[in-house]
Parts: sequence; structure tokens; C-alpha cells
Amino acid sequence: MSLLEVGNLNVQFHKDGKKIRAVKDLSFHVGEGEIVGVIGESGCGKSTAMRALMGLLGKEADASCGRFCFLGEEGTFSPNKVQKKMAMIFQDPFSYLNPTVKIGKQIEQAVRIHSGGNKKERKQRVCDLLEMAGIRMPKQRMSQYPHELSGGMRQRVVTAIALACNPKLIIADEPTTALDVIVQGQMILLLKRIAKETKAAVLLVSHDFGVIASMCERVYVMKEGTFIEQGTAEEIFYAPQKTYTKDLLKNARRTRIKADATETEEVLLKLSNVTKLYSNRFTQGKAAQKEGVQNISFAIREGETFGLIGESGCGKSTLAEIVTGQKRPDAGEMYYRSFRTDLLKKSARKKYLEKIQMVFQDTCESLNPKMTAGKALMEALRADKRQILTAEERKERAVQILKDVGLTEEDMWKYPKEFSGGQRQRVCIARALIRNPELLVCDEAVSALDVSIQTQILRLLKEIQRRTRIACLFISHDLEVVGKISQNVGVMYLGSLVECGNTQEICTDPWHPYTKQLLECKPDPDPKKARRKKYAPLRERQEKPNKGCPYLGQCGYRMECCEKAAPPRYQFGSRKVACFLYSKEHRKGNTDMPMTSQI
Amino acid sequence: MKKKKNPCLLYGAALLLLWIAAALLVPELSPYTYTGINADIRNQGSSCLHLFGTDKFGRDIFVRVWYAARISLLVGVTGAGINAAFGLLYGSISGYVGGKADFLLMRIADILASIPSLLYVILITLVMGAGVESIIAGICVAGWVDMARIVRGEIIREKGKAYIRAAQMEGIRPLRILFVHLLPNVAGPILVNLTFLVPQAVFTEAFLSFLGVGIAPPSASLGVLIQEAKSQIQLYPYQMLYPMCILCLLILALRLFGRGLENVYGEKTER
Repeated sequence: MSLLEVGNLNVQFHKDGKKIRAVKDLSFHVGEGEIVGVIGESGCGKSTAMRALMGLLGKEADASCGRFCFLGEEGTFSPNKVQKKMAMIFQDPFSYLNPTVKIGKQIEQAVRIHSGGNKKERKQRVCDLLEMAGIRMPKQRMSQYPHELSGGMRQRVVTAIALACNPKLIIADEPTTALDVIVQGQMILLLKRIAKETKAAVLLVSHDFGVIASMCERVYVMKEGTFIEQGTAEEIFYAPQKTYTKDLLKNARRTRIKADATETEEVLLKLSNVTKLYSNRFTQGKAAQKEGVQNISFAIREGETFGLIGESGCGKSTLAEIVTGQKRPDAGEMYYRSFRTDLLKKSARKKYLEKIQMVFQDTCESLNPKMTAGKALMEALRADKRQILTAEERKERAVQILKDVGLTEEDMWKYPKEFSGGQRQRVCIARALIRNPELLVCDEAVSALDVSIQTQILRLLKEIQRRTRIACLFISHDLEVVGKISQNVGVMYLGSLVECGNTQEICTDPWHPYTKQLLECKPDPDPKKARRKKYAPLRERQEKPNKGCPYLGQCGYRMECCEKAAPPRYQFGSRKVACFLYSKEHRKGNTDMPMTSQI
Repeated sequence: MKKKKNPCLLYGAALLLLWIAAALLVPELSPYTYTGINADIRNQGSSCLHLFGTDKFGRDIFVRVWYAARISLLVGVTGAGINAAFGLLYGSISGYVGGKADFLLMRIADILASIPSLLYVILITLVMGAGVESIIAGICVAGWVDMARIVRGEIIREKGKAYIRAAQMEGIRPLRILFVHLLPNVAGPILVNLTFLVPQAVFTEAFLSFLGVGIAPPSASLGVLIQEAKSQIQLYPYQMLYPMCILCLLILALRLFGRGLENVYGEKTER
């Protein structure tokens, strides 16, 4: 029997006298206790449709529904009234919790509305809910504020609030998108468990095929406001009918973007034991708990793409700032073509660092909203002291570079808000390239983009590399993306580089326990594999240990020596690993044999 | 895009223009002058010859009110202009440079702003003598601090964004980043604040003149007129009523205009 049946759901927005149809004739059903996935790229109307179902649409939206049947009752559909027995988990746990109210109180509010009871009963219920959402020691957690919790914990609190109304249907709108890979895996487990325990149906909305594959029984594929394809997970993933679905799937699977071996032996940038630590309000005075990066060493050769992977907050962006000269390392050495740059004065350092340009993550913020694309490009040229160009020459160069990144001459006079996210990122790349840099630093450059646009941008970067032999430091939290584009890769954990080496080798045969966990946590866009996948057990984010290996708290291979000191880097050929598993003592004599993975 | 109706801006601008036109034209076109004393027609009520009546020296109040309006406007616009320009420069430098310089600059501003502006005006009037210049100087000593704080806040909010970091990495000079890249993006709130600075300055001037530390007679501002009428308020209340109405009208017009601008800016930022 169906829990929810929806027929011909339409949503229109009125803007400036124009009607925009965001959702067109959507019909679907959700069975009891079923996990149904909705997949589509951003802007296709997924969230709008879900908000319409929940009754969360604003006044400017105009929604109608041909048939709306929830809990077996033929109900009347109203887009402005919140449905009972239906709950929603939102994407961004950082903005959906009130930062000034303790989490226990926030959950209690939801409990009071839905089940009432006296203070004691409510408190007990909050405890139960938190426990159900996978939070240990709920009594202590209740008196904490949202900022004291990590992203994954916050998303669990949001889940607990959603569960307060005993929902029959949970709508999860991109519940894992804002989270790190490992936490994402834990969230998938949690949602699965909740669906099983509470017998609630889950309507999971995501753009990530991996997440959908590991959870859903049935899948709807959405494009431009309508479902273009539907079926069981197996049908959609193994035998998609529509070309759109096929393309999406192809982009989601790891397809290495072919790279010509253009790298030479000449080292362009070399970091050796670079350290930069910050102390924040909470860690002031405690030297060991400072955030930042520690003892980072790697080298980028000409024409090479070096990938850098790590969770959010592991110091990737700090490293990007050091490389681009915005920050000065506390210790260690940085060489640019054998010039030592970290000791130079700011003005002298600039001269070398002009050859390094950067592409940022947030496409909205990285372009000046009051400047047209052309103006932004010409500004970049104008500041170039090596070559003085006339206004006419600058314009020519700007048009040329726009064409190089796949835009047209008309785009010169468009403002950033007139571009789509992918186009904006192209403009950003053009702006970085117009100064003829030798090294391009891409800080999460494709993370905010849809999978298909991601692939386009990655192709563009590769194409540019083939033409100009530019080196690239590609920073991302997404192993998939880094695997597609880079030749060498470094894995970071809490400010340390734990493993470093050839991308293919690391992706297929990880040596460091953290790398292994990262690889395992990435949900596969393949339902059979993804469902079998075991995710790391629920663990709370650990503070960085005072001494010893940074990965100590999470590691399944911890030994006595790990607690005493941080492991040094062990080098085997081109591969470097910072783990005691690869120490001489651990190898016990047979040092002649080539080293293999110890895990 | 269809332009939305913005009554605040429309009526504010119309009222303001009308008011400015009157202030500029009335003293020029009228047969009377603001200093012309006529003992025969003292303290007369409104008539066809003297629209607002005459004061205790037989001067035409209509001309005097609009002449005073001119001075009030001059003080208001100049004062606000100087405040805005200095505040903009001070705030943007403080916000953009940041760190210790920012701390030092803002503390200096705090100290300046902590002393009541009345003291500055009295001091300056003592040294420079009463007049338009000393009033403007008095208004400007600490009047820019609010503007500087707003500009600083806006700049700090905006400079953390990636496009400014990109501009810095391109090697664009700091001053150019400040004026070409940053200021256009923070112009909205600053512009709105500017329209609120003008009525503030006008009102301060009127207040100071009313207290007797402003413009010296026979020259007059709206505050002076109100103060002169105070002694006769029981007998001839209209002598105070007219300048007060004109002052209210100006402040209303400027506020409406500012509010209208705020609406326009608010729409623009909504994407």
C-alpha cells in the first residue's frame, strides 16, 4: 500500500511578471517504509518539489496538485500548510540550527509541539531522540550549543528534531552534501537504521549517485522539473534508458580524464617541512592543539597536476595560502624554481609569486559583482608589470582567453550574476590564466558544481594543461575528482600529510589507514557494491592528540609507539607514508623485500 | 525588468526639489530683503503682501524663512559632504589595512566621538566667531565617526571575499583595489547613510542656533528664526510655526528620499 501518492504536482513562481514553472506534472508514490531516491542536478526543481510537499513554499509560489493522498487519506493539498507526520532534514546543518539556543532546548521545542507532556517526559523524549539519531551521552549533549558540535553531529541533531513528530515520511533534502566523506558514510548508515527502526519511509533527494545507490530501492531521475525516468535502483543504475541518465552515470563513475605525460623533471615548487599554526580562542596556550599545517613536504614538477585531499578543516586551504604567498610559514622552506621564497620580503616575494594564480571554490564570491567578465580580465592584465599593454591589446587578450576557456566574445560584457556556476568558474579560470602563470592553485574549484559541469571543468583544465604545460595544485575533499585529474596526490589529515605518491597507486592500493578509510567511505554509484559496503562505525570527531600520530584516535592499527611520537615520513620509491607500520622495527628484518601495503 | 513603484523615492525627490527651488528663488524674486526693517508693520499676521506675516522688526518672515532655509541647506549639505568624504576615507583605510592600524584609528575615532559635539561648537565659535564656517567645523569635528564605522564594517565584510583575494594575488595596488574593486560593492549602504547625514546636520545646526551658539544676526538660519520667535510665542505663535514647518518639511523630504534609496538598494541586493 502506498503511503504517499502524488499526481500532477505543479509549482510556479511569479517573478517580474513572468511565470517560471519550477515543477511540471510530477507524479510519484512512496510505499510504506520504502526508501525512494530522487536524483537530479542542481536547479532541476528537486528541493522546490519537496518543499511543496512539506507545505513550506512561500507566498510567491503557486502550487497545485491533481491528486494528493497521504496516509491512505485523500487529502487536500495546500502548499502553505505544514503536513503532520512528515518531517524534513535539510542540507546545511550549519544554518538550520539556532546558534544561540542549546540543542536540547531546540529539540524540546519540536517535542512540545508534537507530543506535549510535562517537562520530565519531554526531557526523556529528547534523550531518546538523540540516542536514536546516534548521539552518545545525550544528557551531556543537550546542554551544548550548535557551534560546539561538528558538522556530522549537527546533522544528527537536525535528524533528531525531524524525528520528534514520529514521522511516517522523512524527506531528506541533500542530507549528506555538506558533510565530509567519512561523516557522509555514517549519515547513510544512520538514515538506513532510522528507516528500519521507525518504519518510516524516506524520500532521499540527492545529486550524488553514490549516496542514492547505497540507500534507495526505487529511484526517480529528475530533469527540468519533471521525472524523466523511474525504476528500481538496479534498473536505473545498470540499464538506464534515457541518455540524460546515462550521461549522469558516466560522469559519476570514475573515468580518468586522459592526461598526456607532459611533466618534466624540473621541480617548479618545493615545500619542505612547512609549518604554520594558528591558535584560536579555545586552544590558546596549548601548543599541541593549535590548528594549521605541520611538517608538510611535497614537490610539484612542471606540467604536473598534484592533488591534495583531506576533510574540511585539515589545513588544505592554509596550505594554498602559503603556496600563493598570502601567508608566511612559521617554519620550513619553500622553493620556487630553487629560489627560496619564504624568507623574502613581501614585495620581493610578490615577484616570484606572480607566476602562481588561484581559482577559488565559491563562484559567487570569487568574481566582483560590479565588474563585467571582460573588465575583471582586463584588470588582471592591467596589474601586470612585466608587460605594459594598451587598452586595445588588453581587450584583445581578454577576448582571446575567454574563447580559450569556452566562452564567447559577448560574454565580455556580462556581469557575474548573468552567468551560471560553471560559466563563472570558467571566467575565474580565465582570470587566473590571463597572467600566464606557471602554477595554478585550484582550491576546491569544482566542489560547488554539478557532476556533469565538474567533468566539463576538469576537461577544460586538462586541455589547458596540454596546451600551456602549466602545473596545477588541485585541492579537493573529493577523492573521485582528484583521482580523475591528478598524476600525484597527497592525503592530509589534521594538518599533516599522511601519504603522498602516484594517484593510481594510492587509489587502488592505499597504504596509510586513513587513506584506506577515505577510499572505503566514498559511496559507489553501483547499488550492489554500495549496499554491501561497510562504513566506519559512528565515531565522534576527535580532538587532535597532544602528541603522537594525528590519526591516533580513529586508527584501527594503533600501536604503542603511535601514542609516543608522531611518525616520520618513510619513503619507498616515489611513495611517502607517515605511519609506523612502515618503520624498520615493524618490518622485522626482511628489509630486502620491496615494501607493500601493511593494511 | 519592470520597474517597481517606489513612492518614497518619488515623493521625497519631488518635495526636496520643490524645497530647494523655493530656498534659492524666493529671496531673489521677493520685493523684500531679509534685513529690511519696517517699523510700521511690526508683528503683523499673514496677508497677501506678507504671506507669513512680519516679525517684531517688521521684516517679512516669508523671505526670512526661505533665506534661512538656504543657510540651513548649505550647512547641512556641506557638513554632510565633508563628514561623508572624511568618514569614507578614514573608514576604508582602517577597514582595509586592519590589524593594529585599524585598532588605533578606531580608538582615536571613539575618543573624538565620546565628547559631546556641543562642546566642540562652543569652542570653535569662541575661537573663529559665530558664523556658517564655525557651525560646519563644529559639526564635522566628530560627525564623520558614524560614517567611518559603517564604511569600515562594510569593507571588512567585503574584503574577505575571494574576489578581493584574487585581486591581491594579481598584484593590483591596494589603493586601486580599495577604490575600483571594493568601494562600488559597498556603495549602497554608504549612499543611504549619506542621505541620513544631511537631515542630521541640518537638525544639529538648527538646534545649535536655537541655543544661541550658531549663526549671528542679522543673518539667519531656521534655528535662529525659531529662537527669535520664542520670546513672543504667547502673542504671535505663527512666527515660530512657519520656520518649524519648513524645517520639518526638509527633514521629511530628505528622509523619504533616503528611505527610497534604501528600497532601491535592497531590491538590487536580492538576487
